[in-house]
Formats: sequence, structure tokens, C-alpha cells
Amino acid sequence: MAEFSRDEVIEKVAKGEGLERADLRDVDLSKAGLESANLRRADLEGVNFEEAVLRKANLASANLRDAFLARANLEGANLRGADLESGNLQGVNLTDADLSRANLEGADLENATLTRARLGAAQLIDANLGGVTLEGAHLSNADLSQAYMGAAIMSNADFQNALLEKANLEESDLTGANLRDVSLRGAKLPNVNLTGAILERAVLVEAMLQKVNFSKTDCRSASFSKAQMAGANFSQALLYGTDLTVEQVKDVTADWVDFSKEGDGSLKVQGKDLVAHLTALRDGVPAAAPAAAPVAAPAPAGGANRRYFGRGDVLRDATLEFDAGSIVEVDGRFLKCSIALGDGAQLIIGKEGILDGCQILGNGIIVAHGRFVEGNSPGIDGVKQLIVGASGHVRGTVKQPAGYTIFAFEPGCFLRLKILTS
Amino acid sequence: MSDNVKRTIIEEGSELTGTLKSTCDVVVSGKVNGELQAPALNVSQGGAVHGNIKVTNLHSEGEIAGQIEADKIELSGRVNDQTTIRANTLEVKLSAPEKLQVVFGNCTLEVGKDKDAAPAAGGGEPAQKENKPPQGQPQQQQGKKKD
Repeated sequence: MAEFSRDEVIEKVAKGEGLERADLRDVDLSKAGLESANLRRADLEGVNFEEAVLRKANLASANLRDAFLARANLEGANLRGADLESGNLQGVNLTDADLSRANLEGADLENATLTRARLGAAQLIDANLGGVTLEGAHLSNADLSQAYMGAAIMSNADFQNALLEKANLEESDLTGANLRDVSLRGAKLPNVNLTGAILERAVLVEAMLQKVNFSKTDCRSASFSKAQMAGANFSQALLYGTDLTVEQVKDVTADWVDFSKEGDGSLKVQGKDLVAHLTALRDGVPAAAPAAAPVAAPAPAGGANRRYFGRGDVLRDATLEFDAGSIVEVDGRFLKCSIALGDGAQLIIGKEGILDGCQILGNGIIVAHGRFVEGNSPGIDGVKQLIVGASGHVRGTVKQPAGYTIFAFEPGCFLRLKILTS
Repeated sequence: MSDNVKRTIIEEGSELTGTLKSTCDVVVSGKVNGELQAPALNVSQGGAVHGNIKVTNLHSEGEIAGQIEADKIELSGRVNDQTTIRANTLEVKLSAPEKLQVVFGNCTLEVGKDKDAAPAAGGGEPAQKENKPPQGQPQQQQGKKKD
């Protein structure tokens, strides 16, 4: 039996009296005016709040299990840590509400408005969020596993580190959303609009991504293993460090994508060249020249033996040997080093990279966006391919192997080369 | 080169030895031995120019050799031994993985200006040679044409 009747509750709230920890189970408070009510830690299990006005009410840590809140106005309400498991919140207005750490597992929020709502670390497993508005909402670290979010409007929402495993987001709008480090493993996203979204390090393994719009997304280091993406649009997406396969991108569209580490557009690959680019990476050689950027450094290939020497790294008088098929990126500085490249090994001199007084030997591939100046001559001996980008600077002698070196030069590069045949 | 522009064409099967100076763009599908000056030179696949080439734009899919100076060069085909190429920009595209787009013999490439070089301090890059004809060269075509 509840402590107070409907009329007593309305009267107390009107007088500004608190109902903290009150037992109001199963009271009918539909359409009641409860603005700014203090119901902190109250037991409201099964209460009928249909179309009630609870603007700016304090419901922190309240028990609202199985409560009926359809079309209630909870704008600006405090629901931190509240238990709303299996509650009916269809069409509820939770604009600017605070639901941090709230339990909404299995709750029905269909067509609810959650604009700018705070849902950090909230539990929304199996929740129904179909057609909700979550524009600018904060859902970092929230658990939305298996939630239904079809046709939801979630532009500019922050989902960083959220779990969305096996969630259904079909036809939803995630324009400009922050999905950094989210897990969308096995999620369904057909026809989702992700234009401008950040998906850095996102896990999209086994996700259904058919006809997803990835235009202008930052997908660097995202994982797409076994994802299905026929008809997806990757125009101007940043794809450095992704594990996209040739088979996956056969049916995608893009005007161009960028494989640069910094995401600065310096390693653009035209959409029509994407399959060739990934094929070449898979096979351990640089791809055919993209139209806009004839010289593109390869993106990381799954399983390749990679080394990275970052800005600030300095190697002096070192002798380095890199195995066949390995990929070595240098954004640091090598001074008077001897570098042996195994068959097909790729040495990528980044824009910031400098190899001064060095010698490169072996049947490898050199991609120069930075600076190479030889020490002993020939500074480059036996290389299979030498590719110099627009920002590349190469000064030295190239001694070709018996079958000639494959050269590629991009307009803008600087060359002082003496080329010798074997 | 637009189809509406007048061009000097050395057709396949033609060979010209001597000096060719033209104010028109030049297309070489045959062979030229000697000196060639023009605003633009297009060496077709199967064409060859051996000698001194001074042009603004060079597009070659054929064979070139000698002293070559241009502002902008797009290169495929073959560059023979004892060739020096000087250009502000050089483009060599990759046509396909593992496929040679251009075969370089023993040659020298001097392309672009070193942005990091100290200006007029003795350590900078040598200045680009001016695109002037050598003294004493006739201003008219002197070659003999074999059909």
C-alpha cells in the first residue's frame, strides 16, 4: 500500500514538500503536474505517469521499474542512477535530462525525445529506441547491446566507448556522431547515414553495413572484418589502418578515400582505384597510380610485419634488415644508416621522414614522401620500385637490378638522380 | 594538345636529322635526330627523339635520348643511355603493379627546385639552364626528310 494518495502527492509537490524515499508504488499519477518534484530514491514501481509533467523533477536513484511514463514530460529531469528497467517511456520528453548510469534495460523508448540527454554509462540493453531523437546526446560508455534504434535521429551524439553489439540501427541518422572506440560487432546498420562521423578504432566486425553512407567519416584503425558493405559509400573517408579487404570494397562507391596516417588527405586513392590499391597491398606491392594522387603509400595490411619509426626517433650509424614482405614507415630521422630490404619489403619515408647519408639495398620497394640523401654510392641499389611523392626529395644514385627498377614520380617531387643499369 | 591547334607532325616512317624549331606543338611518331625546340613535344609510342630537346611541355610515350630540358614532363616509354633530363616537374605514373611504365638507361634526372637549399649561398641547387637555342644555330629547319 502506498504512503500517499494521488491527491496528496500532487498537493505536497505544489507546496514544495519533498517526497524523497516515499513509497508510491502503483499510484496513478497520470497527467499530474509534478514539476520540480523531489522524488529522489522514491519507490515508484509500476506508477502510472502517463502524460504527467515532471519537468526538472529529481528522480535520482528512484525505482521506476515497470513504470508507465508514456508521453510524460521529463525535460531537464534528474534520473541519475534511476531504475527504469522494462519501463514504458514511449514518446517521453527527456530533452536535457540526466540519465547517467540509469538502468533502462528492456525499456520502451519508442519515439522518445532525448535531445542533449546525458546517458553516460547508462544500461540500454535490449531497449527499444526506434524513432527516438538523440541529437547531441551523450552516450559514452553506455551499453546499447541488442537495442533497437531503427530510424533514430542521433546526429552529433557522443557514443565514445559505447557498446552497440548486435544493435539494430537500420535507417538511422548518425551524421557527425562520435563513435570512437565503439563496438558495433554484429550490429545491423543498413542505410545508416554516418556522414562526418568519427569511427576511429571502432569495431564493426561482422556488422551489416549495406548502403551505409560513410562519407567524410574518420574510420582510421577501425575494424571491418567480415562486415558486409555492398552499396556503402566511402567518399572522402579516412581509412588508414583499417582492415578492409578487396572483396569487401568491390561493391562500395567513393570519389576518393585517404590512407594517410594523419588523415590530412595526403594519401588519396581514387574510388575507381580502391580495389587495385587493396589488391596491391594484399600482394605486397603498391597499387596502380590513383588519378589525383599518383603516388600513394600503402595502408597497413592485415598480418604484415610492420615497423614504425615516429617523429623524434633518431637512428645513427645503424644497420637495419627488414624481412621480405615487411612494411617499414619512417617519420623520424635515420643518419648514415644501411638498410637492407627483403623481397617486396616496403620502406615508406613519411613526409616528416629524413634518411640522410643512408644506403638502401635489396629487392624492396621505396615510397618517398620525405627526404633521402645517399651516403655511399649507389645510395639505392637493386630496388624493385622507387616511388617518389609530390613532397618527396631523393638525391643519389640508383643502381637498377637486372630487370630494371619500376619508377613512379609525382609532380612536385625533387630529384637529383643518377640512374644506372646493372 | 587540342585538335584545333596547328601542329608539326613527324609521321611514323619519317626520319628527320638536323634542327627543328617550331612555334607549333610537335608530334613525333617517326624519328628525330638532332635538335628540337617547340612549345610542346609529344613523342608517340614508337616515336623517337635523340639529341637536344628544349620544350615547355614534353609528353613522351616513345624513346628519348640526349639533353632534355622542359618545364613539365610526363614520361613513359624509354629513356636511353647518356641522357640528362632537366625539368621543373616530372611525372611518371604507375600503370599497374609490377609493370614498367618507363625504362631508364644510364641517365641523370634533375627535377624540381630544392626548397630547403640556402639561396645564393653557394650550397643551393644550380640554376635551371635558360631555354635558349645554342649560338650559331640556324633558325630554320635544316633537316632532310625521308619518306
